[in-house]
Amino acid sequence: MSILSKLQDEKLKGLVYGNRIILPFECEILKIVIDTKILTDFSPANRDALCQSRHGYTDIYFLDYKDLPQQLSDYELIKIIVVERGKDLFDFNNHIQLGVRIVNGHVTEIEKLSEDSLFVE
Amino acid sequence: MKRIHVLIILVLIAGSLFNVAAETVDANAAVLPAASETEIAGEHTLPSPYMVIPFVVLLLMIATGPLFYHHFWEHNYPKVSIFLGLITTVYYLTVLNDTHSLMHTLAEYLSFIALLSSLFFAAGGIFINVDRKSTPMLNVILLFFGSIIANIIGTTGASMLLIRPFIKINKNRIKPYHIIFFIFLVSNIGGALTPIGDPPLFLGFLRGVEFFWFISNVWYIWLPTVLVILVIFYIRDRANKDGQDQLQEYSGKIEFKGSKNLLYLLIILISIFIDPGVMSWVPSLSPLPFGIREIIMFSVVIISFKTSDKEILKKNEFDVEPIREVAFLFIGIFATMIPALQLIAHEANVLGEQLNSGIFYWSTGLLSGFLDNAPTYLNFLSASMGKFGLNVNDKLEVAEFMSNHALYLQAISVAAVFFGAMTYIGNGPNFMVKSICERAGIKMPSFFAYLVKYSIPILIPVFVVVWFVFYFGRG
Repeated sequence: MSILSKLQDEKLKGLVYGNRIILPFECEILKIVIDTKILTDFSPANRDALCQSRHGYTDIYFLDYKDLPQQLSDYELIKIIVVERGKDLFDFNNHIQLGVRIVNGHVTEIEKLSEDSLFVE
Repeated sequence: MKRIHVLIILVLIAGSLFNVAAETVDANAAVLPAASETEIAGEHTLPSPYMVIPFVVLLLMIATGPLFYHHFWEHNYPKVSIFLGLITTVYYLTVLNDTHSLMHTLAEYLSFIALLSSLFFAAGGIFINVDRKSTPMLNVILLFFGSIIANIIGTTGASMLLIRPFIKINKNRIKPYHIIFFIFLVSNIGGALTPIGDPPLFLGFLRGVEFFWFISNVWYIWLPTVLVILVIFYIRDRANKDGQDQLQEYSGKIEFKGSKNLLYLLIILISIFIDPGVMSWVPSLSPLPFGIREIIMFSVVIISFKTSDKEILKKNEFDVEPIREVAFLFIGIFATMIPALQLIAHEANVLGEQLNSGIFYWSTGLLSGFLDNAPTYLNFLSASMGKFGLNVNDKLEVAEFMSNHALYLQAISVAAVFFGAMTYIGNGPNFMVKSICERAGIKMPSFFAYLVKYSIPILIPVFVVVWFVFYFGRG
């Protein structure tokens, strides 16, 4: 089942440990907005975020943060544009806008961003 | 003639910065910001011009931090701001033994942050959604509407209320210029018609300028200025063809949620007038650096945060960081700018005789773009009244100045509000709008890019025309 079809039915659960977010699917990350930071450089030289797609999940390390649950408010979303692994990156229809919200403990909720959300690709 | 104007402005600023010898002058010769003059007896020493350095360093760091060392800046801007502010504070406490200036500035800061934070929290619980296709004309209508309501709910209230729907409408074609024009009009220039619109005018109102004086004396400058900027925006926006291939359907509906928070906005607006200077029955809490008004505003912050609809807060992605950023940066700005303002006030009084309305317009304006426009306004109001032997602390004399020398009051009022749009730090809402837009994924121009790409090429020519038409060779 694709990310998109899963997200239409339900919110996905992810994980957060310190500055590490774990998305429960494999994907290519195109853009992240966290706080006022707009991240598009995911090359090894960048000092903002480190993304690694592994078997069955994707890691994002936010290098500027020590503890995301402490540093982000309850209403704040980490906004991410992803393309599911294996899908055509160049087709904008495959770009999915996600919002990651830290719920409690180490759990995050991942939802497809609604039309109401402020997020400009 | 132009050269002489420029020269006197330069002398005014340079005199403040390079007059190394500390001078002793009478307190009523505007050593202190105008607000405190009558309350002080005896003599006060002007600060050393070197004490302007912390302010300059803070401005430079605000400008360069996000560009060249953003990792350090993002983590340390509160510490930097407080540290630089402390340098000035310690200097005033130990070298000048002047606690009054510090307490006065603290009171101004608390008043400033109470208004900004209460409007921020109250407006954060209101959700407006305009489900219409973005067109240049719709944007022009929204910006014009924002410019008008800025006079009713303040530039901060209007900015917080409209920035989110403005971004949403333009989601498929938004560019930084959309936001910059929003800052120009809704966050600044729009609010020049009433004392509620922008803090400097409110300070003028507290000093005795009639509430409706601004609208009756400024509207014929406000309207063409707003219209010219809207025309420039319209031309620029028509050239933006992004998002035209989108096949989205629109219902045309305008959705509004959070009416409870409208009541909070109303309470804030009423509380603005709950001041011993406006209503004699209001008790003063002196020597505390705040009054009943600030207590009401901070109460609204707490109540609106506790009772706002959680779904709306989620939809608005409400976050305290934008107001936190403003609170930390401006505590440093308020503290470090005390010496700059005192030196400018002194120079303005010394040179008062030579200054005409045009020079007051440019001096107030250019300094309002980089300093907080409220105290800058008061200092130049004091200086311009001093030119005619009038005292800013006497309401009858303010009324006389308002009637007999309206041109000067108009020049200072227009400049203080309009030029706040020149930089991100010219007015409180500018920074908040920038922060909200960055959270929405919009890459905003840097401090310098804002100046070079937008303020100087768009605003300065408009302001030059305003000066030429209304102040050149007059007064």
